[in-house]
Amino acid sequence: MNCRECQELITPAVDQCLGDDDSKRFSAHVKACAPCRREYELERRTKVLIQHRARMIATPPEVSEALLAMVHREAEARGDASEVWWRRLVPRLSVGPVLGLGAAIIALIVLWPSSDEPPPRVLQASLVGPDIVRQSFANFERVLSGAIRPQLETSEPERVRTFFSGRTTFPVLVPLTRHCTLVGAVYNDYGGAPLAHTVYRHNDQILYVYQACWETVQRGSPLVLPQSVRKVMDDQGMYTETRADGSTIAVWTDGTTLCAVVARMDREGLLGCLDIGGVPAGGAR
Amino acid sequence: MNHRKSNRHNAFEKEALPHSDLLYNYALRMTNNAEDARDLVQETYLKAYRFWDKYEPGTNIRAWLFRILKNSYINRYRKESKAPDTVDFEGIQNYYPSIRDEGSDSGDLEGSVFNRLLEDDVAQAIAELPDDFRTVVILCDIEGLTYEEIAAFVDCPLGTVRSRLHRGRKMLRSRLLSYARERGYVS
Repeated sequence: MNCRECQELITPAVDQCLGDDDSKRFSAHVKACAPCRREYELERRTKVLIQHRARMIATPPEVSEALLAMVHREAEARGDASEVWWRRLVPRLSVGPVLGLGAAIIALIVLWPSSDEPPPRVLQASLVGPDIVRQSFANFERVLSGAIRPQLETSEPERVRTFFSGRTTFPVLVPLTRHCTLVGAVYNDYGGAPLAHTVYRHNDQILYVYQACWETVQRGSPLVLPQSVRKVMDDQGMYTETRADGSTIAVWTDGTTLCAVVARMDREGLLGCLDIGGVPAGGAR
Repeated sequence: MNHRKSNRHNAFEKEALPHSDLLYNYALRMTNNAEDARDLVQETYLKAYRFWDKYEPGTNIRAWLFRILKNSYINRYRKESKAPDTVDFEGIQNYYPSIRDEGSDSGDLEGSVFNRLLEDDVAQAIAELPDDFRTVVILCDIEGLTYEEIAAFVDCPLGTVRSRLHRGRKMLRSRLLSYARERGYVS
């Protein structure tokens, strides 16, 4: 191998993608040729420096959330999300108030076929990172858009109890009781931490409930609750936050369960739906 | 119900959104501004969603998304010129003479010199590279893509990827040395 041939192989040698034969010939040449060895060493050091000083920067959680929301809005605008499963459960806003509740009940009975539903989808909470508040808001949007579908469709707490039994390491609660109806449940895990998701309706609103093991959250891995949120929970027993789009989250703990509920309501409206200390619906005590 | 339509939304979330890190990191390194990077990634995903029908399932989704991002970047920041960057560094034959000149630099092999350079220095040096060279350096050395994947991303032959990487790293090294000199790390 002469120096010109060697020069052409320096970059692939640095990136360790030379074939066996070229690799041997290259090594033999740089061992004997100081200028080529120097050039190889310079490029190798440069690559190492880049790798050490310019690390991959992950998408910030708020950007991931914005992406999810943007895609959902676009899907809705295009009519791709027009068949959102929960829409069949709640009265449309155009329906008169007299018909409202009746329509909801009829819709629940008549328009709740499960046979033509696509298979339930696993949540992709990892898109927004380990922060429970962000995950809850993102999951709520994904429930609204239809991206999250119930694995279990039921209005009976007993069936939810059975569904989560043996899956979670914490008691799954049914915290919403005032004029709220259970409509479905989803189970998944985030980095090995089991999560219970339940969806309720309240008149024309959807409420999403996220539940995790409080001990896991306190450990800070794989789930995280920001210190500022923890502090408010310690001081006031509950953390609430209302975002610009009108969605409110409430986060609290009950025994070994951490609960977060999100709905497109103001704080008072959401708290009005909560029955904290509600009846445990399942899971290990 | 119309599954085809809702499947579009589901398929997009499942297949396209998980690649946001690759796009965001690239956008951030190209624009050097978090807000611009966010806008660029959002624009990319919006276009990708609208043209999802054009994506052929089973083909390289990362390359498809990257090309949308790259076009958006060019439209936003390089409207004035779509010509290849600055000097033609493609000729591999130029490498050999050039290294002999560089050999006169002293101190550039010292690990201690490089070790004293900070993240900001390296980020600045990367930011100053011409776009085509910066692109391959980001994709290879930061994002860890193979030559084959980079070639698919930037739609050029493998040899071009290799030569741009070589030149890109060399330009980067030269800038880092001048920073080191400015800071008195090397005479």
